[in-house]
Amino acid sequence: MEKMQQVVGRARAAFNSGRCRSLEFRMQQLKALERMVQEKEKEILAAIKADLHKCGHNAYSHEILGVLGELALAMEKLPSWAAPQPVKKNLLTMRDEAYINPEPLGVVLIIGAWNYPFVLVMQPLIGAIAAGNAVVVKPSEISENTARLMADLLPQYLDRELYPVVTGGVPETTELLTQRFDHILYTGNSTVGKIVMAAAAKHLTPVTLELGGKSPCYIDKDCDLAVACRRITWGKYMNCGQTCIAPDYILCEPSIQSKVVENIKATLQEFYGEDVKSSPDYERIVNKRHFRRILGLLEGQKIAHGGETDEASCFIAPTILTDVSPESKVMEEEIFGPVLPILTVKSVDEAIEFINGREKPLALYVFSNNKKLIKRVISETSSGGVTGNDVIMHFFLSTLPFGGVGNSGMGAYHGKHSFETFSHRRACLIKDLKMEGTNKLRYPPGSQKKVDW
Amino acid sequence: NPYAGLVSHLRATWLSGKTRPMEYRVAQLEALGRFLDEKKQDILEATALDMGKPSFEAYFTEILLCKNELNDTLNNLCHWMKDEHVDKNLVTQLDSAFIRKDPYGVVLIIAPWNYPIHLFLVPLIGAIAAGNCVVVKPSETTKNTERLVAEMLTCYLDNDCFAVVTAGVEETTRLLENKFDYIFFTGTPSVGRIVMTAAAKHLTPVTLELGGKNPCYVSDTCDVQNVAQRVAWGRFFNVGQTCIAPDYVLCSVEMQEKLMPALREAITEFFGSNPRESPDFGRIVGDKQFRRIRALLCSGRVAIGGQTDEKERYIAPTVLADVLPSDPAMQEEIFGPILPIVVVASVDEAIDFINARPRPLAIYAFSCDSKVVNQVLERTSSGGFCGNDTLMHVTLTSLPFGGIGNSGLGKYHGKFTFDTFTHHRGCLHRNMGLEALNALRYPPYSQQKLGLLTATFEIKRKGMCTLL
Repeated sequence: MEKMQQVVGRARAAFNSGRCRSLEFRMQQLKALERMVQEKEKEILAAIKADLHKCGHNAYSHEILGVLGELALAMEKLPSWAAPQPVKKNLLTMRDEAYINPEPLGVVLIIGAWNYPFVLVMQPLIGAIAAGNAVVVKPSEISENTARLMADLLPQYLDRELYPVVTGGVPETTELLTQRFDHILYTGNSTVGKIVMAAAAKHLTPVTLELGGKSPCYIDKDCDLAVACRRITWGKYMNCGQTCIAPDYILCEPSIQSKVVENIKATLQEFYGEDVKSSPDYERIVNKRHFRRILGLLEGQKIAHGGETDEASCFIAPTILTDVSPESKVMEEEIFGPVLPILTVKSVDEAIEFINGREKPLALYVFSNNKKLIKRVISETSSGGVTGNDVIMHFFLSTLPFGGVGNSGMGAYHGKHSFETFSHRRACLIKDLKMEGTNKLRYPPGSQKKVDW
Repeated sequence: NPYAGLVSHLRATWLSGKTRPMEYRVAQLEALGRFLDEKKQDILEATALDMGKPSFEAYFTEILLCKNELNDTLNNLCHWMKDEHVDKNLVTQLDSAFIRKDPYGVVLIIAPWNYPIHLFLVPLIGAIAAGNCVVVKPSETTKNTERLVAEMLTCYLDNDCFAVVTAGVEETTRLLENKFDYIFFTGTPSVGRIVMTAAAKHLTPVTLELGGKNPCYVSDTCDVQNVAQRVAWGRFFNVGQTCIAPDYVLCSVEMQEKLMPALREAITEFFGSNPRESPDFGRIVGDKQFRRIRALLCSGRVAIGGQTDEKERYIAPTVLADVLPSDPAMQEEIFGPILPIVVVASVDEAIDFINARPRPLAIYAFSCDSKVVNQVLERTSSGGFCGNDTLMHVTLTSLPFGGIGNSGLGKYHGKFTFDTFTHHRGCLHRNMGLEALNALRYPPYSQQKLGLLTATFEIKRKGMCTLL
């Protein structure tokens, strides 16, 4: 394994050569990435399947479809995104040129996560390339098949010096973080997020941290429960609950708790059949460590549905817990698994208070027929993003910035927001060397007359 | 933790929602305006006492520019606060998709001494406009201004939501142990690192407005007199204690020769034959800084000025010729009234010189040939850039003001300040009906479903880009 210093040094030299500045070059690289996704679709799906037991259709719609969309968007919009933006001038600058020039930052680092191992590297990578940077890619070592595949494929399609892939675990990542980057985008948990930011601080490197938290889901009693529960079931159990914006827990009034359970059960049957374990559409927990962690969260809980597990295959059945206490272990950490606790609250006021008493989550969900109530929950809480009357979906609209706040992260990306995250917006004022007359007002010697004018 | 009580008090007010309504924010901003109007004389006096700031300069930067930002914000706040609706895709056509402008919560603003009112007040305007509670920590170096802010600002603003903390290095370190929802820091890169490291413990986002050595390239084709005036103005404003001041000049040996008399003439025009007696030339802020800057004088040769007086902390407007990259004046940000001239053979050499060094807050290029100005712009990187003038790019509130690399991260001024202190929250409000449309995404999966899903989700290329 080559030393990190050499890899990053080479990327920097390649960036300094200026070859990734031109829009033609960036387009070329984006086009090559598109070819890679199209030509190697089978291999990509196979790697994701090996890592997460994810069926092809699921993997395609979660990881490939979105990437192709971002590529198409970036290639179409790049000329307009990269163009200088003129700004409003004032009286003194009327005759001057004033604009914001989007420029690359330099060498950026993207650290991926294991739960959506392909898209969580590719989406930032697209923005970073479009913005004209060199990019060091560090996929998660936990999703090792996808990591290995990316290390194989990217050099085959992209400029090898500008976009190196670095593989490895904690020691390699720690070494990588000692190098100087011009931006770091990290997807993962808050604990490591703090380590990344502290390392970045040494070099004054700006960071985008896509972290997590417990995304609450409030179900109002005035809503179509069947529809709400179907949508929640989809978002909760996709990828076996290993989704940063999965609805982590439900808040609802006691009177509807059992109906919620019934509806989710019915939906689970619809989605995965009688025997979930044999459904090709249900994934597995990524490894034994997480399997045991999630199992531990079930201790002492009232299991209303599910609870079956099989360590050998890292299988945990879709599980619902009822009458969960706020102090229990399952409410202390992000679950990141197919376990859905339901906590009862007396009213929407209590729900809002409950949510605000905890760290700001990455996503917030609220289901209600009452538009005012939804608006109220949104305006009286804080979260990275929100979907009302559904879950997950705000992620798929690239015109919305995707990111966290507080413990769930800082910065945002997707679509144009990715391009802006990886760009420096340089303020430019170009004046004339003539017209010195108007400048006289600002020069000393000062006088009250000048000030009054 | 001596500040825990203060921070939790502000956080409690924050949670009560007091700072959210637009009317509240407008009232606080208008109070800030009254502070500037009613305490104008006190501000001019305090800054004169602290660093001999000429009242013309103090009025311009501490009052006028601040009022501009205030009015710009008040004029546009309603619009900035509104939910920003975004373009939707096929799947979300019937939904409501918008970006909400949420305040962060309790934010901290740490300001430096060189423009002691401006550099906390302009961020404060944005922080209030965005609906946050704010702790302001003015610089302890400018004692009179610090006292003014601590005693008087609190009379204008709601003390449940806004506090002023006076603190030296030790106390500021303790202050930074608390959790804030945003930290805005203006100062040196080394302290910037300390602030960001402290922020990392709480995952607090930051804006760091730092500094560096801002190069000023002067080409051979230029109107020497105008260049000299604009450069001298930018260098000697506030006795050189300006983060965006032209730090050093790069030019050919011929231009150095031409510039010298022009600079001498400009300095005389500005400050008279004895700048020490000019009411328009200030003093260095403190003894430590005075000694630091004086030590830089042994670089190259003193062509203009060079006189100093330790008791008064006076350093004459000085130009150093034939300065070498290894000289003391080229090792650190000068932040004083000394302008070194480093000779380069060509614009290419100037660009290489600039690129070999940390990226500065500003780059200046002077030439009658716009191609030369553009070359410097395109082949370098900096926070901001001004062609054929100095400092002026930061007076336009529609341009973002901030650094890159060692000169900082983040930006502000105008709407950018509001955006800095705002969490842009992506919101999708969907229809509870039309569930049939969602069927495509649910298991059990099938090739047919996938085909249909692809068709609805996909963004197709509209056609070949003309670039290829």
